[in-house]
Amino acid sequence: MASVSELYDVGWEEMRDKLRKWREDNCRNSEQIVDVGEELISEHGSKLGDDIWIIYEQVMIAALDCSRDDLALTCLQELRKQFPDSHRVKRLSGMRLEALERYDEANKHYDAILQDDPTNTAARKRKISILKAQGKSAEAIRELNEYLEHEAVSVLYQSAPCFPCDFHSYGKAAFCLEELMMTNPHNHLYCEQYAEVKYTQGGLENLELSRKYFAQALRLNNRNMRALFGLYMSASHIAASPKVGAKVKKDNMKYAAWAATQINRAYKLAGRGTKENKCSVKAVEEMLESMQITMS
Amino acid sequence: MGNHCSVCSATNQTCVPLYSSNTSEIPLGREALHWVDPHVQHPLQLLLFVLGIKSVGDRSVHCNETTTLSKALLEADAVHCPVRGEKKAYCKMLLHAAKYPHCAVNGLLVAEKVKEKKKDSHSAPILCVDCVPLFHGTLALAPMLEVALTLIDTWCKENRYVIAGYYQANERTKDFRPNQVAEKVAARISENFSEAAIVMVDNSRLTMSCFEPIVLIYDHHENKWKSRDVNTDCFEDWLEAQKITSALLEGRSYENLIDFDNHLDDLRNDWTNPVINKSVLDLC
Repeated sequence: MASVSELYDVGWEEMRDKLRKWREDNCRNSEQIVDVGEELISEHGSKLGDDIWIIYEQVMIAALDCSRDDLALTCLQELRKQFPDSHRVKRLSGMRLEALERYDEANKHYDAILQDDPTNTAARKRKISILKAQGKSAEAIRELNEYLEHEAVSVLYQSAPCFPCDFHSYGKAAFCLEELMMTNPHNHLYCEQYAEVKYTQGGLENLELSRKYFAQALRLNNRNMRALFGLYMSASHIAASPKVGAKVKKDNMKYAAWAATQINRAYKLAGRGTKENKCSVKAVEEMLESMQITMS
Repeated sequence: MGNHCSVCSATNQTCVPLYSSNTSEIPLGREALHWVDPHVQHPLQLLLFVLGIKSVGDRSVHCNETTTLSKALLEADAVHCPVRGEKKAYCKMLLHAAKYPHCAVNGLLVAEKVKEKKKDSHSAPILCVDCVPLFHGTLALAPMLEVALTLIDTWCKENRYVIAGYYQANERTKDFRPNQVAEKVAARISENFSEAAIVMVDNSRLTMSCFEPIVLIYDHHENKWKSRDVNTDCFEDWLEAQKITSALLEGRSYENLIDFDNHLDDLRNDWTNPVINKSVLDLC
């Protein structure tokens, strides 16, 4: 089988830089990381210098994702040799045990870390993840709530929105996203996700809030299609609601109409030239038209 | 005049034997199955049995006509399987699950619109000819789901399809039960299509070779979703479906699968998946 460098005609520096980019973007493309990382380590390990340790960590986690315990163990052993007393490496050992579904042993590792260092976020996150993996959703939520009350750590909040949506505690998801928006005011994704949660919660007040946040997300990034669609949907629903006054109705119809134009324009731009996309454009036009009818 | 059974030599007046044909298309039907039924239980067994018949005078079946035979057998058996899957639908569903192994994924199943509903609703099975992968990760948020349902519904109307079902693969390997999201979406689909089904992927049995169907099909009975037995008869052509899905998984074609989330990230991404559709056709 051809090597990565042969297939894509890249040198080892490009492979190293690609791994760094994936690390920074927090991508979970584990198959690719294993392909690139394994080759990089085995063929060019000596050239990497101190970068090799973080690459070992990245490849090890990706290897766990791909069931490559052989590779994971190799990386782990190198890291253990280099950093014998590290909590970070101990967490990796724990993760390997999790991958092998040896949850009790994994928990022992994490408890040992927490005994030494009760503020260790990573270990706490792993313990909660174990509960989630075991299907103990109620306990996982309880632990998460407890932790969130005591520590305002935005890193932990980032994983939180997924939990509540699974278990329909949209209120908790909204709370987490509010915290995230406070600490990351320019992040359009958090705005848009918050708007989606509010929309799902339903009710006129939440719909109006969701419309505002969709609009805010658009202001931060005018190419966010979800925000655009969301603005259209929320404005349309508000305008169609029997509980609103004439002025609110009129305003929301204006917002919806504006959003519809933008959506149509975006599709036309994307569909330039392709036959298949012309179908999408037509579908969107029809969809928007059909919703107009129900609105009035 | 009785019909002679080559297996038990009994004379049976109510059955119609298999009959030979010089054309490539054998008009076999349920009646033909009935003749051999006492001796074989499973359609595939029947196939082997038929292949074993070299000739029974006028009533032989030529081996190169077995594809049509198997089709007829599956059709005959279809009374037990009102909603069945075609290879393209099954394939893309599994590719979607394989693309995002760490997330929950979901999507819609579409069927060809049947012009008139015959009085005997058991006559034609509803064939899910295609699927549209929807989301990965967070499945439970309303606005994009509404947009997707409406958009895909419009697309269906243009192509004389109808949204006939919903599939979901949960985040955890061992969890294959439909959750609230699945039930809500399926209820919505049922408004337009009374026999809507929920198809859950059994992640724990997902392998490269796909030797057996790894889905559970849930039908709505008496306000509850109940799972039904799934076997290879629930597919139009299981062997083809298995072969194609396996080939695409090994070739990592799932990297090119587009779901509605990908489409929202970049409108140029086409959720009808023409590239994958072509690969499926090429492998047929």
